[in-house]
Amino acid sequence: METTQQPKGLFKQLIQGPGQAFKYHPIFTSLFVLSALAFLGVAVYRFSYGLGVTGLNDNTAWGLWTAFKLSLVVVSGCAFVLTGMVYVFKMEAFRPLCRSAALMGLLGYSTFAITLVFELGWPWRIVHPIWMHNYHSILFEIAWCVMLYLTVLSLEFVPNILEKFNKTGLVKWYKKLIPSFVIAGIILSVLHQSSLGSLFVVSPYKLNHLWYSPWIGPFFIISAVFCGLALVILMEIFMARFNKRKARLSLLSKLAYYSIPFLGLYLGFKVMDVLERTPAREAFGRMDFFTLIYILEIGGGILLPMILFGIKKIRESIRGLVFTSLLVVLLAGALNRLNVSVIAMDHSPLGYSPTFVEYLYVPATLMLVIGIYIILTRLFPIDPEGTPQ
Amino acid sequence: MKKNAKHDYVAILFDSTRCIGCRSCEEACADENNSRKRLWTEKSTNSKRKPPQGLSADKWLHMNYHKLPMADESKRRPFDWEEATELMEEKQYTFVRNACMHCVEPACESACIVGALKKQENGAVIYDPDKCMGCRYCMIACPYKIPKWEWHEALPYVRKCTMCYPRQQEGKIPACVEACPGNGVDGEALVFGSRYQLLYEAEERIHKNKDRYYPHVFGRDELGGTGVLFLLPKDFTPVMAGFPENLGKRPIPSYSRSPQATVPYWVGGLGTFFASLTWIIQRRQKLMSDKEEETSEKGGK
Repeated sequence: METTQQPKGLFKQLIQGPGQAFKYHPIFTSLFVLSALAFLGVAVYRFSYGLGVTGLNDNTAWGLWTAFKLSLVVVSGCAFVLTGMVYVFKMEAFRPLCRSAALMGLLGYSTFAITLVFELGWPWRIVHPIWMHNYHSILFEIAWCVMLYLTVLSLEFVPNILEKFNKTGLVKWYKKLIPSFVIAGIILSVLHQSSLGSLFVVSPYKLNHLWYSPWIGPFFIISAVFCGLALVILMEIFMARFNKRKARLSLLSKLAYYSIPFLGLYLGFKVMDVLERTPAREAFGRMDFFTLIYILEIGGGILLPMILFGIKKIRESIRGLVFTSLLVVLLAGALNRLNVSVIAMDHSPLGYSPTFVEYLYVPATLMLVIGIYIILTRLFPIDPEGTPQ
Repeated sequence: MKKNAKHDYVAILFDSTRCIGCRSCEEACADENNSRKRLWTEKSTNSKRKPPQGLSADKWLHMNYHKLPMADESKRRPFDWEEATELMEEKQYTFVRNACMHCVEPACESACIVGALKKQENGAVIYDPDKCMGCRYCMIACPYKIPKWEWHEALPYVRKCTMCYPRQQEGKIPACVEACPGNGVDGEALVFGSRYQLLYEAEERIHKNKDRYYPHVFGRDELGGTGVLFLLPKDFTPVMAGFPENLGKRPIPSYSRSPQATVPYWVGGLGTFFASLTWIIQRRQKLMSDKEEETSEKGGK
């Protein structure tokens, strides 16, 4: 890196920095532009007509976007898991993946905040919790934790910028602070990940008892661990494919291996939880739609991945990893959040069906985030080993 | 919230056996809260949505009719507003008030992130539109599904009954209570007063007329008690009246209070744990590498 000449001017330095050659990529560019346009369209439509453009109604106050938000947070658990592994448990082998995971967390939480702006009735009042306090509200704690955690994640991103502009002295000094950021990040993550679950403890008469549990907070935080690990696996394999390099399979299969105990813990807790509570046993015994979707969530998202990750051959093949991680992210992560916040909440099944705008927002935003992630990995030394020089 | 102030709360007693279904209360409510105009314009019913059946942002009080259990179901006639009073005299249907319950410990107050919903000193739960950021968590938290949202507005508010708090400040009683005509026997279907006195009166009514009433005042201790008390007809359970099933006595705010109270301990505990863990692991690694260096030095010699 030191050998390359530094071009003059910040912007030139930014886009022509060491070795991060940009190449025109037709599929990527067109998808990125399309999703940006779709996102803008949804924004204009929603902000000019209000939330009436969504399928939400008085019975279903929270819908698809809420579930999307919660899913973003659960997969963004990758940031605290990977940074914790590297900085607290000193698993140096995973250092190459650490910065990308932190960046994914930063982007995930930023998208969470943006989606929240879309969802709020008064978007600019998003800052109200800073000076209007209700300490009894779980949402209040989440608001503060997410604000602080976004700050922490941004601080964790700073070394990338410093290194990019070759501030070697500053980087050295700054890196001494990183462990404290990491610990702060873990605390904040544990608090708000579990509180996002505890949000629903106030609706014991509304949420289906298969999901309503006094332990819903711990469930959310444990699932953040394995969903975060699964996202790291998926993203690394995707970036390897995108950059036409080999994925670091040995690291990924280790990550998959480490997620087994967490999946097991979650499965055990979930089974105990349903067996222990009478209303949950009754709800399970009814064998209705909710029981089936619960079985799909637990069986497909937890039990099956546990078995698949346990098989060495699958754990060490790209296809096996992708398939299993997708199961974890989609079923144990996204489907669980969708169930808790929308499907199993008390309203008639047909009371809410998301409108086209709501559906469109989700893939458009996801594409945008992935695009921004790719651009940032090219611009900054996030993962120098894995990016084309 | 001041715990010792509970005794001073005002309340509304609704005696559904005396209600004749004239819906004067609904009208008075709409007039008082300036929502009649909005309710009857087309704007309030978003063209994509059904017109509001029951409570909505523009209708803060709704009288629901429910089937009363009958010995012979075949005699039941379909409900018709024209002959509502007749049907009620024949004990085929009964009306139940649907509006904010002004809980003694409101779930919405504990849920609201910015404290826009607040229990007032007299017991009314009212909403501060200047604080609300529109997260709709109150709508998730309320077990009675009372807070409603102005879906058709670009900048919407949460709307619900205020127990006519502004009127109460002027020394008047809530509009719905004032409008209630009663059935001419002995008093009105809606009574406004101190919660304790009303509870006493309700229990007394049940005691005096056991054949007429369901033997429990709904709202006495449901979820910590409500500010609207319900006397229901005999054999007509609260679940039939549209209230949630298996309502316990535990107030909703107590569910979130326990996780919230432990936050400082979690911060301290997790902080200490991870900081010391980092330090221990670092030190062990350092000791190990020192040892390796030592052995390699020795080997070198």
